Amino acid sequence: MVGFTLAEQETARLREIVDGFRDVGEEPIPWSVLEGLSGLLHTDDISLGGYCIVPAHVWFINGIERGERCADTETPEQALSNPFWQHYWQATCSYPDRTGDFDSVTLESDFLSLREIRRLSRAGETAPFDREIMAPLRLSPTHQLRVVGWRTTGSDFTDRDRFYLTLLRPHIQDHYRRWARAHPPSAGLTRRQLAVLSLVRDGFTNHQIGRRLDLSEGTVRTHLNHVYERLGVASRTAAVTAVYGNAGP
Amino acid sequence: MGGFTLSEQDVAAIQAVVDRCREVGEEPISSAVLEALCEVLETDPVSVAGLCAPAGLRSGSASGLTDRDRFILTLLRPHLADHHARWLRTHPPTVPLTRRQLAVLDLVRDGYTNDQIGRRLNLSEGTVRTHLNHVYERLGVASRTAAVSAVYGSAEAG
Repeated sequence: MVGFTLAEQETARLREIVDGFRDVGEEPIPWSVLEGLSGLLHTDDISLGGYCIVPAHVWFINGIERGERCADTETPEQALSNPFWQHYWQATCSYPDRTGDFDSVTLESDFLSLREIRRLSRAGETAPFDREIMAPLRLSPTHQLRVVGWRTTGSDFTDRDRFYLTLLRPHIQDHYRRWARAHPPSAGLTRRQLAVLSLVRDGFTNHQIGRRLDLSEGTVRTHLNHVYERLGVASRTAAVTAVYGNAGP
Repeated sequence: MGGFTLSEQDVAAIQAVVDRCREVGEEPISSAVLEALCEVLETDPVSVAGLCAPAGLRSGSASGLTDRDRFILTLLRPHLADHHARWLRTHPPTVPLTRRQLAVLDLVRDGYTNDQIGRRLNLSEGTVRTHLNHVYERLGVASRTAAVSAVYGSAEAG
């Protein structure tokens, strides 16, 4: 037995969030959904971010900070001076990467006492919040989405909050994939990535593309991996279809 | 909206479906998942199996579903779809193609031109084209991209 119930108000909030995923708009997660999540989980700050582990950077992050909408992106170069990444592999943030457990929704308090959390936050090694909840969503071995919610202080997140995020996680992922497909070329891809992809469409191999663009085969492969991640697809054919549509009649 | 509550037992049953969706069984939708869904919907295995068949979840198709049931199914739908996608990855679909046709299509997927495929398989370009025309016919599609999606698409989409 899980030991909690959901009241009418809570199922209604949950339903509003699920309904919010129906339409794909401009953002990787609808603002209404993020705001709904912020209310459901009683967070002071909540975000959905795209985390790339190699090379380390957050390719987008959308958040609700104390009621305000905010969005940001980070390049791999900018990430070099971001303390988050400097502490990443020592911090609890890397738990899913270190263990391969992308199923659990974790609380910071699963790993650390409040005393330790406050000490790390004073040292500038973690965000200045007492309470944190995190749900990872794996897109590829190097790319993942994460929902992270924070409370500055006060009571900790509960099993009920874990339950909400566990239930909603694949909805968030499905919406992201649909969004990624609806926002392909210039929206997501760089000119270089598009140049590579157009040669893939024409049927060239990575090796041939490399010779044409004066790149090594490995670089072509890297370009394409980034393309897959941005589009939320798993193969070259799927990438071509996502960007250029079906070539058939 | 909303208009209903979930008891401890309901929450536990929903959690059980989500947990069991992570494990791949023998069937596209494992019996463990079906059993857990029966608990949630308080119904018999046959109608639940009908709901899930063949692949995705047909939310409204079983009779006697309440608004509450529909909402729970909406919540669980992507979990079941993931469950099914995991099963597909370990049980690749068998398609009505010959080994030779599959060999050709395999190279199409990898992005080779008919000419390149011909050189690899020691066939003329015309023969490759003929193989592919038969593939299109059997799959009921009109292009090489569509053929690749039809055969490999669903397994890779997960």
